[in-house]
Amino acid sequence: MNTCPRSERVVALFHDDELDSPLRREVASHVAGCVVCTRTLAAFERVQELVAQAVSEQLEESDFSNFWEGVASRIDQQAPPSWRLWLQLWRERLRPAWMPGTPVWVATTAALLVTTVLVFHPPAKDSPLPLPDPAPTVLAANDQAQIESLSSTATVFLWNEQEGNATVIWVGDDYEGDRP
Amino acid sequence: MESSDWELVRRCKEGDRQAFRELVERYQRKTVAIALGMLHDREDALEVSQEAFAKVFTNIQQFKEEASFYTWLYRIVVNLAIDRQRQKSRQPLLDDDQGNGESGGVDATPAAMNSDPYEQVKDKELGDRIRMAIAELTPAHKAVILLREVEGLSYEEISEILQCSRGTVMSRLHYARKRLQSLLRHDL
Repeated sequence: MNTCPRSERVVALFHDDELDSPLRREVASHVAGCVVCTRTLAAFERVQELVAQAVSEQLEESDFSNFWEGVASRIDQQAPPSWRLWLQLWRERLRPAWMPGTPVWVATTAALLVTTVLVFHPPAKDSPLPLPDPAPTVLAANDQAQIESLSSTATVFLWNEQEGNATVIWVGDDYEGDRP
Repeated sequence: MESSDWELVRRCKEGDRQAFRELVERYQRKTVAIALGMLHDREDALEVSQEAFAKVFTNIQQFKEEASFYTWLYRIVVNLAIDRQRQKSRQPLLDDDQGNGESGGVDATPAAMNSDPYEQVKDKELGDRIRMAIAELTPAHKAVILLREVEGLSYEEISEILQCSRGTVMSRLHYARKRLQSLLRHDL
Protein backbone atom coordinates (compact mmCIF):
# COMPACT_ATOMS: atom_id res chain seq x y z
CA MET A 1 0.00 0.00 0.00
CA ASN A 2 1.33 3.44 -0.96
CA THR A 3 1.92 5.87 1.87
CA CYS A 4 2.94 9.49 2.08
CA PRO A 5 4.73 11.27 4.93
CA ARG A 6 2.50 14.30 4.37
CA SER A 7 -0.31 14.14 6.93
CA GLU A 8 -3.82 13.63 5.66
CA ARG A 9 -4.85 16.50 7.95
CA VAL A 10 -2.60 18.88 6.03
CA VAL A 11 -4.34 17.83 2.82
CA ALA A 12 -7.67 18.49 4.57
CA LEU A 13 -6.46 21.98 5.57
CA PHE A 14 -5.41 22.54 1.96
CA HIS A 15 -8.79 21.36 0.70
CA ASP A 16 -10.59 23.65 3.17
CA ASP A 17 -8.43 26.65 2.23
CA GLU A 18 -7.16 26.96 5.79
CA LEU A 19 -3.43 27.24 5.01
CA ASP A 20 -1.56 30.51 4.68
CA SER A 21 -0.01 31.35 1.34
CA PRO A 22 3.55 29.94 1.56
CA LEU A 23 2.41 26.61 3.01
CA ARG A 24 -0.51 26.47 0.63
CA ARG A 25 1.84 26.77 -2.37
CA GLU A 26 4.12 24.10 -0.93
CA VAL A 27 1.25 21.65 -0.31
CA ALA A 28 -0.24 22.36 -3.76
CA SER A 29 3.06 21.53 -5.36
CA HIS A 30 3.38 18.35 -3.27
CA VAL A 31 -0.16 17.15 -4.02
CA ALA A 32 0.37 17.67 -7.73
CA GLY A 33 3.21 15.14 -7.68
CA CYS A 34 1.96 12.68 -5.04
CA VAL A 35 -0.47 9.91 -6.00
CA VAL A 36 -1.54 9.25 -2.40
CA CYS A 37 -2.31 12.89 -1.58
CA THR A 38 -4.04 13.38 -4.94
CA ARG A 39 -6.30 10.45 -4.08
CA THR A 40 -6.91 11.81 -0.56
CA LEU A 41 -7.81 15.21 -1.96
CA ALA A 42 -10.11 13.64 -4.56
CA ALA A 43 -11.89 11.70 -1.79
CA PHE A 44 -12.43 14.93 0.20
CA GLU A 45 -13.79 16.63 -2.91
CA ARG A 46 -16.13 13.74 -3.65
CA VAL A 47 -17.50 13.68 -0.08
CA GLN A 48 -18.12 17.42 -0.30
CA GLU A 49 -19.88 17.02 -3.63
CA LEU A 50 -22.10 14.17 -2.39
CA VAL A 51 -23.07 15.91 0.86
CA ALA A 52 -23.86 19.18 -0.92
CA GLN A 53 -25.84 17.30 -3.58
CA ALA A 54 -27.89 15.36 -1.03
CA VAL A 55 -28.86 18.52 0.87
CA SER A 56 -29.48 20.50 -2.30
CA GLU A 57 -31.89 17.85 -3.65
CA GLN A 58 -33.99 18.04 -0.50
CA LEU A 59 -33.79 21.81 -0.47
CA GLU A 60 -35.17 22.05 -4.01
CA GLU A 61 -38.27 20.20 -2.88
CA SER A 62 -38.88 22.51 0.08
CA ASP A 63 -41.70 25.00 -0.19
CA PHE A 64 -40.69 28.50 0.92
CA SER A 65 -43.88 30.23 -0.22
CA ASN A 66 -45.28 30.56 3.31
CA PHE A 67 -41.99 30.66 5.15
CA TRP A 68 -42.23 34.28 6.29
CA GLU A 69 -45.86 33.83 7.40
CA GLY A 70 -44.74 30.94 9.60
CA VAL A 71 -41.97 33.04 11.13
CA ALA A 72 -44.31 36.00 11.72
CA SER A 73 -46.92 33.83 13.42
CA ARG A 74 -44.27 32.33 15.71
CA ILE A 75 -43.02 35.82 16.57
CA ASP A 76 -46.55 36.86 17.52
CA GLN A 77 -46.93 33.77 19.69
CA GLN A 78 -43.74 34.36 21.64
CA ALA A 79 -43.81 38.17 21.69
CA PRO A 80 -43.10 39.66 25.12
CA PRO A 81 -45.68 42.08 26.55
CA SER A 82 -45.61 45.51 24.98
CA TRP A 83 -44.43 47.19 28.21
CA ARG A 84 -41.26 45.08 28.06
CA LEU A 85 -40.63 46.11 24.46
CA TRP A 86 -41.00 49.76 25.44
CA LEU A 87 -38.63 49.23 28.36
CA GLN A 88 -36.08 47.60 26.04
CA LEU A 89 -36.47 50.40 23.52
CA TRP A 90 -36.01 52.95 26.29
CA ARG A 91 -32.88 51.23 27.58
CA GLU A 92 -31.30 50.64 24.19
CA ARG A 93 -32.29 53.66 22.16
CA LEU A 94 -34.18 56.43 23.88
CA ARG A 95 -32.52 56.85 27.28
CA PRO A 96 -30.24 59.92 27.23
CA ALA A 97 -26.61 59.25 28.18
CA TRP A 98 -26.78 61.47 31.28
CA MET A 99 -29.70 59.53 32.73
CA PRO A 100 -28.80 56.71 35.12
CA GLY A 101 -29.63 53.08 34.33
CA THR A 102 -32.92 51.42 35.26
CA PRO A 103 -32.08 50.22 38.83
CA VAL A 104 -30.97 53.72 39.92
CA TRP A 105 -33.91 55.29 38.12
CA VAL A 106 -36.41 52.93 39.74
CA ALA A 107 -34.86 53.39 43.18
CA THR A 108 -34.95 57.20 42.83
CA THR A 109 -38.59 57.16 41.72
CA ALA A 110 -39.54 54.83 44.57
CA ALA A 111 -37.77 57.08 47.10
CA LEU A 112 -39.58 60.14 45.71
CA LEU A 113 -42.94 58.39 45.96
CA VAL A 114 -42.33 57.34 49.57
CA THR A 115 -41.24 60.89 50.50
CA THR A 116 -44.35 62.34 48.84
CA VAL A 117 -46.63 59.96 50.71
CA LEU A 118 -44.90 60.73 54.03
CA VAL A 119 -45.15 64.51 53.46
CA PHE A 120 -48.84 64.51 52.58
CA HIS A 121 -49.98 61.67 54.86
CA PRO A 122 -47.65 61.62 57.89
CA PRO A 123 -48.44 58.86 60.38
CA ALA A 124 -50.17 59.98 63.59
CA LYS A 125 -47.57 60.35 66.34
CA ASP A 126 -49.60 58.52 68.97
CA SER A 127 -50.83 55.71 66.77
CA PRO A 128 -49.79 52.35 68.17
CA LEU A 129 -47.92 49.80 66.16
CA PRO A 130 -50.30 47.47 64.36
CA LEU A 131 -51.04 44.53 66.61
CA PRO A 132 -53.65 41.82 66.47
CA ASP A 133 -56.84 43.71 67.32
CA PRO A 134 -58.94 41.29 69.26
CA ALA A 135 -57.47 39.23 72.00
CA PRO A 136 -57.39 35.63 70.94
CA THR A 137 -59.82 33.21 72.40
CA VAL A 138 -58.05 30.83 74.73
CA LEU A 139 -59.22 27.33 73.99
CA ALA A 140 -57.11 25.44 76.52
CA ALA A 141 -56.51 26.99 79.94
CA ASN A 142 -54.19 24.43 81.43
CA ASP A 143 -50.51 24.10 80.56
CA GLN A 144 -50.70 20.40 79.81
CA ALA A 145 -52.35 20.68 76.38
CA GLN A 146 -51.02 18.32 73.77
CA ILE A 147 -51.55 18.31 70.03
CA GLU A 148 -52.20 14.76 68.96
CA SER A 149 -52.58 15.39 65.28
CA LEU A 150 -52.59 18.37 62.94
CA SER A 151 -53.93 18.47 59.40
CA SER A 152 -52.05 20.17 56.56
CA THR A 153 -54.60 22.99 56.50
CA ALA A 154 -54.31 23.72 60.22
CA THR A 155 -52.98 27.05 61.48
CA VAL A 156 -50.83 27.56 64.55
CA PHE A 157 -50.51 30.99 66.16
CA LEU A 158 -48.15 32.01 68.88
CA TRP A 159 -49.22 35.01 70.94
CA ASN A 160 -47.02 36.46 73.62
CA GLU A 161 -48.81 38.60 76.21
CA GLN A 162 -46.20 40.74 77.93
CA GLU A 163 -48.38 42.11 80.72
CA GLY A 164 -49.46 38.76 82.03
CA ASN A 165 -46.14 37.14 81.17
CA ALA A 166 -48.04 34.43 79.30
CA THR A 167 -47.66 32.77 75.97
CA VAL A 168 -50.70 31.42 74.16
CA ILE A 169 -50.40 28.78 71.47
CA TRP A 170 -53.48 28.63 69.31
CA VAL A 171 -54.11 25.68 67.05
CA GLY A 172 -56.95 26.06 64.53
CA ASP A 173 -57.83 23.10 62.34
CA ASP A 174 -60.44 24.85 60.20
CA TYR A 175 -59.18 28.39 60.41
CA GLU A 176 -60.02 30.62 57.42
CA GLY A 177 -59.29 34.19 58.57
CA ASP A 178 -56.11 36.26 58.42
CA ARG A 179 -55.35 36.64 62.08
CA PRO A 180 -56.61 35.27 65.39
CA MET B 1 -28.61 48.63 -3.15
CA GLU B 2 -28.89 45.70 -0.74
CA SER B 3 -28.67 46.63 2.94
CA SER B 4 -25.96 44.97 5.03
CA ASP B 5 -26.85 42.54 7.80
CA TRP B 6 -25.81 45.20 10.31
CA GLU B 7 -28.11 47.79 8.87
CA LEU B 8 -31.04 45.36 8.89
CA VAL B 9 -30.26 44.23 12.45
CA ARG B 10 -30.15 47.88 13.56
CA ARG B 11 -33.58 48.46 12.04
CA CYS B 12 -34.92 45.25 13.61
CA LYS B 13 -33.81 46.55 17.00
CA GLU B 14 -36.13 49.49 16.42
CA GLY B 15 -38.98 47.05 15.80
CA ASP B 16 -38.92 47.20 11.97
CA ARG B 17 -40.47 43.90 10.85
CA GLN B 18 -39.90 44.61 7.17
CA ALA B 19 -36.14 44.72 7.83
CA PHE B 20 -36.42 41.40 9.62
CA ARG B 21 -38.32 39.95 6.68
CA GLU B 22 -35.38 40.90 4.44
CA LEU B 23 -33.02 39.05 6.78
CA VAL B 24 -35.31 36.02 6.78
CA GLU B 25 -35.47 35.96 2.99
CA ARG B 26 -31.69 36.34 2.80
CA TYR B 27 -30.97 33.37 5.08
CA GLN B 28 -34.01 31.09 4.88
CA ARG B 29 -32.52 28.66 2.34
CA LYS B 30 -29.23 28.41 4.21
CA THR B 31 -30.89 27.73 7.56
CA VAL B 32 -33.24 25.16 6.06
CA ALA B 33 -30.26 23.48 4.35
CA ILE B 34 -28.49 23.09 7.71
CA ALA B 35 -31.66 21.84 9.41
CA LEU B 36 -32.35 19.43 6.53
CA GLY B 37 -28.86 17.98 6.80
CA MET B 38 -29.33 17.55 10.54
CA LEU B 39 -32.90 16.22 10.55
CA HIS B 40 -33.45 14.65 7.08
CA ASP B 41 -37.08 15.77 7.14
CA ARG B 42 -38.38 18.76 5.21
CA GLU B 43 -41.27 19.61 7.53
CA ASP B 44 -39.07 19.44 10.62
CA ALA B 45 -36.36 21.48 8.88
CA LEU B 46 -38.82 24.22 7.90
CA GLU B 47 -40.30 24.34 11.40
CA VAL B 48 -36.92 24.46 13.11
CA SER B 49 -35.76 27.26 10.82
CA GLN B 50 -38.90 29.30 11.42
CA GLU B 51 -38.54 28.78 15.14
CA ALA B 52 -34.91 29.92 14.95
CA PHE B 53 -35.86 33.13 13.13
CA ALA B 54 -38.61 33.83 15.65
CA LYS B 55 -36.10 33.39 18.49
CA VAL B 56 -33.69 35.71 16.74
CA PHE B 57 -36.32 38.42 16.40
CA THR B 58 -37.48 38.08 20.00
CA ASN B 59 -33.89 38.33 21.29
CA ILE B 60 -32.55 40.80 18.76
CA GLN B 61 -31.95 43.45 21.45
CA GLN B 62 -29.42 41.14 23.12
CA PHE B 63 -27.44 40.65 19.90
CA LYS B 64 -24.06 42.31 20.28
CA GLU B 65 -22.64 43.95 17.23
CA GLU B 66 -19.15 42.46 17.56
CA ALA B 67 -20.49 39.06 16.42
CA SER B 68 -21.72 38.32 12.93
CA PHE B 69 -25.44 37.87 12.45
CA TYR B 70 -25.33 34.64 10.51
CA THR B 71 -23.06 32.82 13.00
CA TRP B 72 -25.56 33.70 15.72
CA LEU B 73 -28.46 32.56 13.55
CA TYR B 74 -26.76 29.30 12.54
CA ARG B 75 -25.92 28.54 16.18
CA ILE B 76 -29.60 28.80 17.08
CA VAL B 77 -30.57 26.61 14.11
CA VAL B 78 -28.02 23.92 15.02
CA ASN B 79 -29.07 23.90 18.69
CA LEU B 80 -32.77 23.71 17.83
CA ALA B 81 -32.11 20.94 15.32
CA ILE B 82 -30.20 18.95 17.94
CA ASP B 83 -33.07 19.45 20.41
CA ARG B 84 -35.60 18.37 17.78
CA GLN B 85 -33.56 15.28 16.97
CA ARG B 86 -33.41 14.36 20.68
CA GLN B 87 -37.17 14.79 21.01
CA LYS B 88 -37.79 12.62 17.96
CA SER B 89 -35.43 9.91 19.11
CA ARG B 90 -37.49 9.64 22.31
CA GLN B 91 -40.74 9.23 20.35
CA PRO B 92 -41.72 5.75 19.19
CA LEU B 93 -42.14 5.34 15.43
CA LEU B 94 -45.87 5.30 14.70
CA ASP B 95 -45.75 4.84 10.93
CA ASP B 96 -43.72 2.55 8.79
CA ASP B 97 -42.31 5.10 6.41
CA GLN B 98 -38.66 4.73 7.35
CA GLY B 99 -36.52 3.60 4.50
CA ASN B 100 -39.26 3.11 1.92
CA GLY B 101 -38.67 6.47 0.27
CA GLU B 102 -42.10 7.86 1.19
CA SER B 103 -41.09 10.04 4.13
CA GLY B 104 -40.76 13.80 3.67
CA GLY B 105 -37.00 13.70 3.86
CA VAL B 106 -35.69 11.11 1.49
CA ASP B 107 -37.33 11.34 -1.89
CA ALA B 108 -35.17 12.82 -4.60
CA THR B 109 -36.03 15.74 -6.83
CA PRO B 110 -37.26 14.76 -10.26
CA ALA B 111 -36.10 18.04 -11.75
CA ALA B 112 -32.59 17.60 -10.42
CA MET B 113 -32.25 14.04 -11.66
CA ASN B 114 -31.08 12.54 -14.88
CA SER B 115 -33.73 12.05 -17.61
CA ASP B 116 -32.71 8.41 -18.18
CA PRO B 117 -34.97 6.23 -15.92
CA TYR B 118 -32.07 3.93 -15.04
CA GLU B 119 -29.90 6.89 -14.12
CA GLN B 120 -32.80 8.36 -12.14
CA VAL B 121 -33.01 5.24 -10.00
CA LYS B 122 -29.24 5.24 -9.55
CA ASP B 123 -29.28 8.92 -8.56
CA LYS B 124 -32.08 8.33 -6.11
CA GLU B 125 -30.30 5.37 -4.56
CA LEU B 126 -27.11 7.36 -4.25
CA GLY B 127 -28.99 10.27 -2.67
CA ASP B 128 -30.57 7.88 -0.17
CA ARG B 129 -27.21 6.32 0.65
CA ILE B 130 -25.64 9.72 1.28
CA ARG B 131 -28.49 10.82 3.51
CA MET B 132 -28.33 7.56 5.44
CA ALA B 133 -24.58 7.98 5.83
CA ILE B 134 -25.01 11.54 7.14
CA ALA B 135 -27.71 10.26 9.50
CA GLU B 136 -25.17 7.84 10.96
CA LEU B 137 -23.03 10.71 12.25
CA THR B 138 -23.43 12.19 15.71
CA PRO B 139 -25.15 15.60 15.88
CA ALA B 140 -21.81 17.35 16.52
CA HIS B 141 -20.19 15.68 13.51
CA LYS B 142 -23.21 16.33 11.33
CA ALA B 143 -23.17 20.02 12.24
CA VAL B 144 -19.49 20.44 11.47
CA ILE B 145 -19.64 18.64 8.11
CA LEU B 146 -22.74 20.54 6.99
CA LEU B 147 -21.36 23.93 7.98
CA ARG B 148 -18.15 23.16 6.12
CA GLU B 149 -19.31 21.24 3.04
CA VAL B 150 -22.71 22.82 2.43
CA GLU B 151 -22.27 26.35 3.76
CA GLY B 152 -18.56 26.56 3.00
CA LEU B 153 -17.74 28.25 6.32
CA SER B 154 -14.21 28.62 7.65
CA TYR B 155 -12.99 26.73 10.72
CA GLU B 156 -13.08 30.01 12.64
CA GLU B 157 -16.72 30.63 11.79
CA ILE B 158 -17.66 27.03 12.60
CA SER B 159 -15.89 27.25 15.96
CA GLU B 160 -17.86 30.43 16.70
CA ILE B 161 -21.16 28.76 15.79
CA LEU B 162 -20.52 25.55 17.68
CA GLN B 163 -18.74 27.37 20.51
CA CYS B 164 -15.75 25.09 20.49
CA SER B 165 -12.06 25.50 19.64
CA ARG B 166 -10.65 25.48 16.12
CA GLY B 167 -8.82 22.27 17.01
CA THR B 168 -12.11 20.62 17.95
CA VAL B 169 -13.58 21.69 14.61
CA MET B 170 -10.61 20.15 12.77
CA SER B 171 -10.84 16.97 14.77
CA ARG B 172 -14.62 16.57 14.30
CA LEU B 173 -14.31 17.32 10.60
CA HIS B 174 -11.58 14.73 10.23
CA TYR B 175 -13.63 12.08 12.02
CA ALA B 176 -16.83 12.92 10.10
CA ARG B 177 -15.04 12.71 6.75
CA LYS B 178 -13.41 9.40 7.61
CA ARG B 179 -16.77 8.01 8.69
CA LEU B 180 -18.50 9.20 5.50
CA GLN B 181 -15.65 7.86 3.36
CA SER B 182 -16.04 4.52 5.06
CA LEU B 183 -19.85 4.45 4.69
CA LEU B 184 -19.75 5.63 1.07
CA ARG B 185 -16.64 3.72 -0.01
CA HIS B 186 -18.43 2.21 -3.01
CA ASP B 187 -19.46 5.64 -4.27
CA LEU B 188 -16.11 7.40 -3.95
